Amino acid sequence: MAAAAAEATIDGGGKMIILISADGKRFEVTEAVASQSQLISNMIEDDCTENGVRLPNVDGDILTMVVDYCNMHAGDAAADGDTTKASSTEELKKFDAELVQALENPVLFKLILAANFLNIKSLLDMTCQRVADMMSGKTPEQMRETFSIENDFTPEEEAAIRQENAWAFDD
Amino acid sequence: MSNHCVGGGAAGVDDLTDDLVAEILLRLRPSEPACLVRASAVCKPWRRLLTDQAFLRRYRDFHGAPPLLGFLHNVAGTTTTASSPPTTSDYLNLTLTPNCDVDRKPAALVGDALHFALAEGSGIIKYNMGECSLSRIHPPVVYKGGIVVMAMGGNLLGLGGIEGSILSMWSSDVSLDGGVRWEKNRVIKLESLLPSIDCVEAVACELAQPAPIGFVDGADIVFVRTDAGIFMIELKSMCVRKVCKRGYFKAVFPYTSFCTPGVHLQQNRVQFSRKRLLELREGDVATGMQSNGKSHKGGQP
Repeated sequence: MAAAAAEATIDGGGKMIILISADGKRFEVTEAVASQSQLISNMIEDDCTENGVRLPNVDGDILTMVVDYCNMHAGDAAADGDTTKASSTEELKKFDAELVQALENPVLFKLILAANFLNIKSLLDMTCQRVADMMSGKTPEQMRETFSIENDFTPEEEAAIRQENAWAFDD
Repeated sequence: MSNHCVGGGAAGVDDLTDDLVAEILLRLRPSEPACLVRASAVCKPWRRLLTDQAFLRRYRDFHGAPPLLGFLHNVAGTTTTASSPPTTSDYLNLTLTPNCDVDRKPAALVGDALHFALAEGSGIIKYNMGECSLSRIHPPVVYKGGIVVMAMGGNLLGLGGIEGSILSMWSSDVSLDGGVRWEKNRVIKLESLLPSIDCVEAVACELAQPAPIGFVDGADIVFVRTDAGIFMIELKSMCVRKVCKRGYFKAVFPYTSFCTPGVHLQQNRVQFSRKRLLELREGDVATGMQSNGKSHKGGQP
């Protein structure tokens, strides 16, 4: 990804790309920002971003967050020497933490789907980690409740799992 | 890739593909192993994922070596355990009665607790992993030569000890609250058993202070140290084998062969079911099963 971004900067760093969400919202971003998505990076390489990139799987609200994220992190991929553009590591950490902390479950899952679809590894990593951390200290019932998961075990099956690993069910 | 539109309607875990659920579960922190187990009780698809060999391999690759959960150590009559990763400084300092010296022998996992034999047969230390507590179990008899502990299936903890030339096997249900009640299951007279298997050594086999030094869970095999060598007794068949001619071993750490599904071994060596024995003593490691009279000398003591 870093190589692709560097190339874009050399070839014509100022080139803009239009991203179009499922509900028709348009976002204008630089190639360096957009190519953090491996999907779009590949499209840039294939020269098929002329008429804007339609993203039928991502709606405007989610794409706003993704673009914000990519704008903040464009510094990661940009030329190392350019310290004025790149956000400081601490700033980025704060931004990332605030982004995922604030999200309600459905939005968090939508962001995971978008990060997966657009293939933005760092965003996928961060959002998945957030969900995993939300499970910490929770009982199976609380996990089901948090994520609206149906319990498809019979009472006997569940009892057997609990008995087998009684140490983990200290409730 | 999911066909779900990231927009309309409320997205939930149901909208994630198995691959994405795996990405999430992969990130459960190894410092909280109970969380992995609890997640496996959420629903069947999660349980399938979490118990999948490929997932477990990925998990190990992702997180590296498993974290240290705790340790026991002997400090002049004190037994200490760290029940959490040492960095959290969440130590349990538990002083048990004096002379509480943990023996260097394999521990037995029964229910939620690890059981460690204490030196000179003075008892068993029970470390309850669920409650992070230490307690002491008194033995039925104090076997000065030391004891071995073993998991007997269910909630039964087994104990083997030798007094004179009598090997006794005991068991107790350790899940019950209150005092532990020992039941004697087997009495084995070593005098009649051991010399007969090796006529050459019989004269020398005076059984001075024989002691149990190892046990194989599930296979009911006890290792006994005598002056005449190390013997392996299969409790089911009462078959006795001499596995080492001489040497003063404090403990043996038996290992058995096993098959890992999905791993292709060279030259069809998967079929091994032969049990092997690893003997350890300070400054000397001898491996393999030795037949009578062809004892391997593992270096000078």
